Amino acid sequence: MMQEKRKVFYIRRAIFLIMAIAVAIPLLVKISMPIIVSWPTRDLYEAVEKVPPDKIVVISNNWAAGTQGETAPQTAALIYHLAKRHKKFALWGWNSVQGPLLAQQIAEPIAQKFGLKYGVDWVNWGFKTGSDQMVRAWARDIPGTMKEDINHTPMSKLPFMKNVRDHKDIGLIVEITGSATVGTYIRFLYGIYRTPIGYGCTGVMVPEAFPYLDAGQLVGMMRGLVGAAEYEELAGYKDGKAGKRMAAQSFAHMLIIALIIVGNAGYFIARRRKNAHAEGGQP
Amino acid sequence: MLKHRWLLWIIIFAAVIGWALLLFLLGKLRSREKKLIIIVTTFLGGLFYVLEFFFPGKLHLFSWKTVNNPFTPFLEPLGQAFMVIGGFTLLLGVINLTMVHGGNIRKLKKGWYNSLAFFVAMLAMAFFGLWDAYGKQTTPFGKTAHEIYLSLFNGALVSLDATMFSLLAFYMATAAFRAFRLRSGEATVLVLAAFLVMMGQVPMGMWFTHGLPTEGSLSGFRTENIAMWLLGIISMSGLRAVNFGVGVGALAMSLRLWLYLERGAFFEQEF
Amino acid sequence: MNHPDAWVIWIGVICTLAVYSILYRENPVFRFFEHVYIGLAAGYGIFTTVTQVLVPQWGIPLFKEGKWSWIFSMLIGVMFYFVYSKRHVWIARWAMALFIGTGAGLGIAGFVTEFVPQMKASIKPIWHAPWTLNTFSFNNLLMFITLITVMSYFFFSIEHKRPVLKGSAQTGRWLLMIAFGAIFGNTVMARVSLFIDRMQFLLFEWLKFHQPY
Repeated sequence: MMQEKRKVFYIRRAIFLIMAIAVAIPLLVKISMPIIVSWPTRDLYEAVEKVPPDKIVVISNNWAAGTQGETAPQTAALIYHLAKRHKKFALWGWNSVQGPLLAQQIAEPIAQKFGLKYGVDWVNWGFKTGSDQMVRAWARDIPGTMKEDINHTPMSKLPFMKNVRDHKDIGLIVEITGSATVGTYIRFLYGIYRTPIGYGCTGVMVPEAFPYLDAGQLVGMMRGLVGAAEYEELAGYKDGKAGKRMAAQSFAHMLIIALIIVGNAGYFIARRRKNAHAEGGQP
Repeated sequence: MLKHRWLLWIIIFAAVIGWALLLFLLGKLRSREKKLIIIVTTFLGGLFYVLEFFFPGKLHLFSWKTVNNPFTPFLEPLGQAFMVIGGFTLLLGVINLTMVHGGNIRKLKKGWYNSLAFFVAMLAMAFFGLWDAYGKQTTPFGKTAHEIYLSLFNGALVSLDATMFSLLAFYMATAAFRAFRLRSGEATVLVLAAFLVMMGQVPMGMWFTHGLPTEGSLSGFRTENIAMWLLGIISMSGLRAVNFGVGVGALAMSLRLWLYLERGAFFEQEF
Repeated sequence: MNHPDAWVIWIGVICTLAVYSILYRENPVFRFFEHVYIGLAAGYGIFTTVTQVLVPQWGIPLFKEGKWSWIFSMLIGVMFYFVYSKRHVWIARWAMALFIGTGAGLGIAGFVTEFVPQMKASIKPIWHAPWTLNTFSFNNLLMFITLITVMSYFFFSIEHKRPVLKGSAQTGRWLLMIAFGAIFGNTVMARVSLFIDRMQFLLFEWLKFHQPY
């Protein structure tokens, strides 16, 4: 019994080590892999391209550091695209306290690179509490609901907010999240005002989003890290992190597949031995 | 906007006293009457949003009168009020944590120093963050506070949060090896679908079928197209069906709560 | 994060390695940093709520602009804290009733806006004029079959004994396994991505390995 416990202990740690090696090696060794862009990402890219110059793009950052492995590259790729096309964008969040600040730290160097001015070309409205009730109020009166930005500058003092009043001034909302918050926008922005909604989510939430894509309630989607890599490819974002992680992602996926096969092979072999013993009458 | 500052404080004081008096008087009611207040509050709260949604934006009465939705203008002040009310509840979780960890320290339970670390971390983050936001940042302490706040956020909180969640990758790997057993046909179908989706998402998996054309009927057999087909057709429809069930259940629950048809702990507790 | 200071990186490394120590075995270092994490998260929540919600949304309108009606938001918010009093818990229930009521109302409205488009999107043409092979959509047929059979699987008002319902439910169950497989496949991607992010941090920001890309 003790021996079995020790065996299980060391097998688990060996698997952890193999996982770490499987991820580390492709990060250290250049393995170029072509990225094939899927249609949800392409649709999102094109939706961003179609945003008229007199409207803004709102990036809703309802993600925290716990999901930054996927959501941070998505945010970076999207902001890069917006900055490259000089489309005005606003950051905010209402479900995660960390989201707006993390997005700010991603946006600042990219905005600087393209010469975008804070307060004129982009803003960060910061974090606001509340969900459905607050979002409904926000959709009808953005400056009145926001009051000030993340740096405590009143809305009235931001040139960006000069022509931003309500949902009619939003060309696209992209919800980047690790939790089930896109429903609020689907229900009360698209559902009532038909505001286009894009989605950037963690891999876990991808299958649940397809019904909304099919119904047209979402205009496009970045599917986790893969989606971020595809978006970087479309936007020409060479410094993006997602594309560089795809080799490691590939190795890890193959490892999981191998572990399932090996685990089941061991299980079936052990079961066959057990059945053979039982038939042979041996204990 | 009030003319005199002191008038504001009088109103605030009067409002607080009035509210406390109201609660005191309501506290004298019987349990049944207190429950009635809860039921009526629930109903009125829901009634506003239901009426606002179902009332037309513009109602043409006869041919000469148009009535706008009378509830819509109240969406903004209500939403902003709910945002503030929600903000005031921030300490609820903190009080709970304080009670638990404070108890550990007071009774010197095993690992009490961990609870002390919790308090130090919480107070440090709150203090340096608030100083960074409202304190004088041009002073040496102000600059130090700013650095400490950013270090606590970027160095500690972000790293801890990200690392905690990344542990799941390892547990998933061991679960794949030890727990994922193909004991039935359904489990086999599940695993095959998972294999195809996993392969179709990563370049290495796509490489297996890179020789197939990107257009035409054979392109459907490329791993990425198979994965998208599984996600976009079968998985999408299956999950839509599940969502319908969940949605109808949520609608039923909303109606039950709104109309006091629910006989659960919330409505039935005696006061 | 733009070029973080070395000591910020070291704090991150210590926190990361302390949490990863749980992978070997349960240890006091992991427990210590776990509590630090909860403390930091709670502290950051307090800071953000005060600076980005309470002060600009309530404090400034009430005390600076003199809009005295905002006092009632505080009074209602404070009612929640009576949940800690056994005698006056009904006050907290009154405040909760407001949120539950509005949530229920929004849920009813939300059902219409969320699910009616879903129902519309479920109705897709399977075959249409001129009734050739080109106008037949296998995918739409499969979607329809999947939707109906999976819904029948969750239909518990009638026992699944009659052949049609039983067959339909079993088919739905098999098709649902494909959906779960897809969810698992995506979950693998999600979890692994989180670890890759940490590994990149350790290899390139801490150990300063040369980035090959």
